[in-house]
Amino acid sequence: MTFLNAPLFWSLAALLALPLVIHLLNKRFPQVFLFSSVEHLKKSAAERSRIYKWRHRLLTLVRTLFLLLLLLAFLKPVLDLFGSSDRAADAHRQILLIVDRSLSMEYRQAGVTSRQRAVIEAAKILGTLGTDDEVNVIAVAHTSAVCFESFSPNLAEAKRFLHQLAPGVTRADFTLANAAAARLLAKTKGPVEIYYVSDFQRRNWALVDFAPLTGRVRLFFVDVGAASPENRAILGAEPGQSQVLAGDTVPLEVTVGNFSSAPLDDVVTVRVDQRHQVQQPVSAGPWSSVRVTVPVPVASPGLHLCEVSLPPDNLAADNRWSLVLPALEKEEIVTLSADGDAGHSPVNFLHAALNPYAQQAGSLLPRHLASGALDPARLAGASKLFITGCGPLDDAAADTLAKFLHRGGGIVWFMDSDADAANLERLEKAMATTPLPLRVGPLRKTDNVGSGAQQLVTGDFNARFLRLFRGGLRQDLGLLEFYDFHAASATGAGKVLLRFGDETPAMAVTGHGLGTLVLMNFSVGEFSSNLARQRIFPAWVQDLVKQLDTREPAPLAFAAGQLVTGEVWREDLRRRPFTSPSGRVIEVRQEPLGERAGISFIPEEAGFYTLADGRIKYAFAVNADPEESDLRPVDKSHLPAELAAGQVSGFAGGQRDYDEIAHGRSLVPWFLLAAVGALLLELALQLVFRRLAR
Amino acid sequence: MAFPSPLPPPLPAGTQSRYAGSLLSADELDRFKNLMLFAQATVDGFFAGRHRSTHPGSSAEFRDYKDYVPGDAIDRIDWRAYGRARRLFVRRYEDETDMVAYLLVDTSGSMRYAGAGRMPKFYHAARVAAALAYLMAKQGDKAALGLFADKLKTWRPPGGTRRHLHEMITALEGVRPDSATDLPGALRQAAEVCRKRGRLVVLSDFLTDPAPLFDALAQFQHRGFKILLLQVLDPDETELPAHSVARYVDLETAEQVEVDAEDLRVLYREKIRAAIDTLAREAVARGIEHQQVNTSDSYTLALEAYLGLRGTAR
Repeated sequence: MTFLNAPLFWSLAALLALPLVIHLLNKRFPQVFLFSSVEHLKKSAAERSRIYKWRHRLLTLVRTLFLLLLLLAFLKPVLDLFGSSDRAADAHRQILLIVDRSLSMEYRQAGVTSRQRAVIEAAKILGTLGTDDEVNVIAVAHTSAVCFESFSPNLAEAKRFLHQLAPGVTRADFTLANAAAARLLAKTKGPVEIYYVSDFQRRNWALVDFAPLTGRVRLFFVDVGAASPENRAILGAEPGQSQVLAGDTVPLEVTVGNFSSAPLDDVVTVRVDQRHQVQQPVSAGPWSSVRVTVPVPVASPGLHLCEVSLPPDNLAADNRWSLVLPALEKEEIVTLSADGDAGHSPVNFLHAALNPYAQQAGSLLPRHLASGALDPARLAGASKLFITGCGPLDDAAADTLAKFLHRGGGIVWFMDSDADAANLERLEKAMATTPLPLRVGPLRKTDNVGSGAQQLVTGDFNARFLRLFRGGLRQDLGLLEFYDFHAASATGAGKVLLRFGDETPAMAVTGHGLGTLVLMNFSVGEFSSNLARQRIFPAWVQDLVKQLDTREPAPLAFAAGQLVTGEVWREDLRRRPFTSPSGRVIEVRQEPLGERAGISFIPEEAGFYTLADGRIKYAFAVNADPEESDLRPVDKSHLPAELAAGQVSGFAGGQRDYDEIAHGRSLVPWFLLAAVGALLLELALQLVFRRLAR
Repeated sequence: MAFPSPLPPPLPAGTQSRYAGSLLSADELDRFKNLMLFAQATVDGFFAGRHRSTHPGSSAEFRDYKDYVPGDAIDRIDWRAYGRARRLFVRRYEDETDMVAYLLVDTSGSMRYAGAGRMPKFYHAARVAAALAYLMAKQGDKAALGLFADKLKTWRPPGGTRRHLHEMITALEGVRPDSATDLPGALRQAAEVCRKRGRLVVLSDFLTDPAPLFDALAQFQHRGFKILLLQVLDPDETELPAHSVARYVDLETAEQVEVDAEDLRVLYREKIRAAIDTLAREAVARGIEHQQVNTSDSYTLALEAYLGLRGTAR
């Protein structure tokens, strides 16, 4: 506790002696009164109780106490809050406002967003500053924007900075903000008050590092979040198939989150290229998310701007999800075997799995190639090769396969031929430095189908080639029976992904150059396994095709605030600039790659960043961070209550709190109340003494 | 005629000016100088409009007739006169006048006390004594005056003449209340000079132990005296003056005690009331009349008490 008028104490302290002086004067110079007889006075006085005899001293004490309380009230006592007394009375204040500008701050309640409330609260805090005080402001999103290089007395500029804060679409990285604050603190001396003005959304505040804040700082958390916020959002959308072909109907899997205590019953709308739209009802329980599949027709090849939306609510920014659907032409897959694809050959099953649709409507276009006719020219247009029932390969063919792999091709080799052991030996020789993952022995055939079948027992389900069998879906592998397979053992190179019950490797993978070789120690033939009869077979084959592609497919959507990268023709960049969703031309960072250029930029808006020349040539979909949609605040106990020595923290809110932080909590009313209490005490004592006098 | 100053003896240096005004003002002094006139006015005023000696008295000496009015005693009707005049007359008689009233007035220091706006107790007592003396003389009775403090200081033997009355009043006017009180001793001295049986009127504040007092009065009772104790008190003495913390100085003993009157008032009031009640109760038990006379009361209260006494004496 401190006194704002403390210097006045000594000039007024003499008043405290007033009751004592009066008491002593009464004792020393009492009024002399001639009286007829003092006999009865003496007797009366002698009968008084001891406490009654002390009444004057007691009353003097109470009156002194009254004057003392009155004097202290006049000295303006204040209770020091959060170490406010550490600051010298004449020292100027330094305030750092760290204002949340994340997406969750755009939640609107009673017509006002949390960001707007933050600006109002910040203005109140600035209002407590004097002309000598200094301020700085950090706006926190995925990056931190600092108002001044160092603390400045320019309050007007700080207010302007606050009022110009644009709506956020990203998360807020307060650890980054604390690092920026620490840099500012290093430039100044004396204590600094840091105000975090935020809605304390749990994702943003779960793991904030306050360690960089050293020195004499006081942290104040100003909660401007809405009470009991309820929200619903599109958390993501992706096509249900790996590649989108022109004319295909893509099952778009949309994840909808319901972050409220009421169930969600609404409609998801998918709009493609601003021309046609598809709607799908969606229902979700309280505090849950649900995935709904919306069939989206894709008419032509090229980029399609797809926008998924829910009806707007109090946080409209996360009710939209943008993605770019690239529609491709068909991809050719080469199948290599000694025989053709007629009848019930394994090649025929593979072709059916690669394109199970009538009239080859699928995205994959299988093309058969006889193993005897293998040469580099026939593989020139393909990047993926399936081998089954392969005939003997000579060294040239093996060398062709090795080079195919080295350039980035992908091979899935079903080892179901008697020549496979020798073929693989030649391939290993051709690959020179890359050993094969398996040492292959003779082919073990079962004479009677239905006896001696092997089943898959163990597997590395974290591998991308077994992606479809993760979790409970691995039981699909338990249905598989294999009758023909090679005796094989692992070499230690590459990785064995599946094993039979007798520990024989069933599936292994290795890389060579840019390519990937997948060895399948079984056959898809109908007399070699029951794999081709399983429903999972086509999906697995198509997923193998997708996973063979070592090139990372361009992401369908990016998160706001995260780096967007892509590759474009330099000629296109010269002709047209990239524009933001609001139509603003943006600067992209370029890196020459021959005739093409690598580009990168950090998007600040949600929507489509496009480069169009009559038609859209490049598009990047950017969405708000879905982690901002859960608006529940962090458990306040996670926020630091005590920091290092000299550092304190606490919650504040409202003008009164800010004033009390600046000047301490005024105790004048309490002292006045205590003074009144002293008066009442004296009155009570008088009554008691009067009662005793009777 | 020069009167001695009734002011109390000089107090210690530095306090005189403070106390003097509280005891007697110049106006009071002038009024006190006219004690004879006061006695005359008081007594005449008290009896104005009254029929003189309406009581038959012990001598039953016929004085005159008066017309009968309803309420008069029927046995006083003179039936012979009725036979002659056919009107009802009531016979009236002169009262007995051969009686001595001994007036003993306390002149001790405590009688010097005067409350704010009131005259000192002694002056009140002196006025009552003067009035009684005048009343005695006016009725043809004899009155004696004794002034006492720690002893009987002045004694005026019984007399009924106007000259004797003047001497008594002069003695009263010449008093300077001082010294301590020894009422029993003074009464014993007075008993020696009060030779003829009569009425003993003692005017004092009686702020003394009652037991020796009644012992001293017993010899008067034994000799057939009718005794009236007129206890002259200032209201301050029963209520305490409205001071807070003050140093009270005893007017007789100069003893000092420092108390808060506000705090002690209730307890003091109980004690002084108990003392007065004790005096009155003891007096009644011994057949002695007691009357408290406050300096704020009318003087006629004392006269009525005296006359009541005379009535009971018959």
